[in-house]
Amino acid sequence: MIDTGTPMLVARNVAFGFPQRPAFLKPLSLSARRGECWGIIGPNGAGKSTLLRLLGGLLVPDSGTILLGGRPLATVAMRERAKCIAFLPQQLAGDLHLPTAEVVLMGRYPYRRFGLFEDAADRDIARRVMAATGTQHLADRPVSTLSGGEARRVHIAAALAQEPTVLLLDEPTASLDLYHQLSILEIISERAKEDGLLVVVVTHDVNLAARFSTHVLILDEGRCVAAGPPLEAMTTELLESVYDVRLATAKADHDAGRWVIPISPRPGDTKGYRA
Amino acid sequence: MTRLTPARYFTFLALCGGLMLVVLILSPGIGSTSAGVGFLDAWRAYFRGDPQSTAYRIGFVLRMPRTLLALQAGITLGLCGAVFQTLFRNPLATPYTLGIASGGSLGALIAIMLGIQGLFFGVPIRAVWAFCGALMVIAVVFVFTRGARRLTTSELLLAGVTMGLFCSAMMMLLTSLSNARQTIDMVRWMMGSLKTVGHLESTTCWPVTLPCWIVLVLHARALNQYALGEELAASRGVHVARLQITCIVFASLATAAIVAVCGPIGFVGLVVPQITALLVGRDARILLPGSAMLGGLFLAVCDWTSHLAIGAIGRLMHRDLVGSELPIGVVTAVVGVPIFLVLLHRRAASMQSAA
Repeated sequence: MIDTGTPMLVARNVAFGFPQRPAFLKPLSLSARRGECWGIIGPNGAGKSTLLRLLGGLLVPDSGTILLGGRPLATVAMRERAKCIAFLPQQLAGDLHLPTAEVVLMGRYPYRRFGLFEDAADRDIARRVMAATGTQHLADRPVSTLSGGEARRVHIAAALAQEPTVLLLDEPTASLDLYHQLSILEIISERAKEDGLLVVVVTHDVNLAARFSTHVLILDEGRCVAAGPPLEAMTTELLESVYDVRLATAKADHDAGRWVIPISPRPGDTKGYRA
Repeated sequence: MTRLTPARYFTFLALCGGLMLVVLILSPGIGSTSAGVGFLDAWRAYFRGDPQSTAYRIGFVLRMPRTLLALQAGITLGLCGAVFQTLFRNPLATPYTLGIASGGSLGALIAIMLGIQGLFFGVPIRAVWAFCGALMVIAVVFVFTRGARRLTTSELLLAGVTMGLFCSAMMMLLTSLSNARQTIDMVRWMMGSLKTVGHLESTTCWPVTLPCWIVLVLHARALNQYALGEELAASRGVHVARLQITCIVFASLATAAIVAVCGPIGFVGLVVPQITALLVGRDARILLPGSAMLGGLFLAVCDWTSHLAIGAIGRLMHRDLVGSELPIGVVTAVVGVPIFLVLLHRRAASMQSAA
């Protein structure tokens, strides 16, 4: 039985700034457990991807600490971290002339210090995650010849082959068609339910976030303005002010309860977009 | 596209290794035809144990060391070309992209200009100057691109190409200031050559090249991750900045050593990695050792061609060119381009039929 009691990933007053933008991300705290699915939403430049990189240890916070399973993330060696946290950036290499099966197997990298080839256990894991992501039939195709949705699924398979407990995804559904948006989020939430994976997804799609997340975290200008279960955190008024738009809502028949429909930019210039 | 299995890996590398052995065994018998020493003459003299005979001297003091140097230079240039192309994600990158060849040439030209000759701890002083010139250029490129904590490959490329152009300009200045004999020396040097005096040239490089080869080949799996993207590689546990610096430093050292001894031999580092990729795929685990071994074979065969072709060209031109040889850079281009174009055409055709 997977222990879902103790928090897997904890951020305590984590703040971060870039040389050109000091104090970009304001002090922020969160606590996430295994089996949960977190959606990070907010407008462009709100700090969503930065927060995701901090949680993955790819950026080091200026202040505050991040705990991975109770250990400070800064003290975890890169390879050890890679066995716990898988990360998928939004931009993927477009010209990858390697067969799909090989790219999935490359997810096993942190488990092998020496030796050139993966063993039978690695290949079993690769086969399993390719079945879970529906990519078996692509095994011999070079990744460069796949469609955007197929390539994204292959990279998710590689991330799952890493056997992580935390999966961080930066806009995994951006520029994908409706089928692939839904299928990718279904694959991920299934892994969260069955394997007790903690999933953190940065997304622009508030409806998908509401539907597939157990928790959402809303960022606006580097500040966390709301966090919690989607229905409570994502009020229409808050979304309207964060995104600076007028919204309509419609009743939906899934758990999240309603659809959010963007209508028009809000009049006035509260966020300085039109300055 | 087939996956890289241990069977495929070892078969290909064993094949290349076998061919290299064949090249080495044939080497005492192949060279300028005017010498009149054949394959059997040379090996007969070797097994008779007669080091004073002409056949032995031509086969094992002139020809075999030369082939050893060709193999060594080809391995280095092929391997470093593959590393640079992976690192810069650019099929046009070569071992010389960061200005190593121009820096080395400038160093050698300065030595020629100053009339420095002789040996320094058993190494030709001209080669020492060339080696230092190459390292100076790399150092400058590094210092000026390391403003940020991480290297950006586009800035490195830009700095390298600029430094290369600067060194070329300085080389022009030196040639214009030198007398006729020095100019001939300089032009000869810049053509690149595998000329050897006994085992001196090939053995001076080993202490530099061999460790570099090992270090580079050991980073193949990390380079594969790097090809996925820098952030993805970092999330998998690859120390990206360290990988970049290690690869650039060791590839530059090895290339500088070869440039110092052979001059700037072009084309091997550009075309051999691409030929290898077309043959066995872009997986760095096989691309790096494969490019290395094919590079060695390629350069050794090109060197033979430069000897054998000169006789035919001499007969065509009704001139006695015995004793001279074609510049090796000409041969690498003439042999390499057709092979490359044929493979490229075949790949384009197979991609069309697949689609």
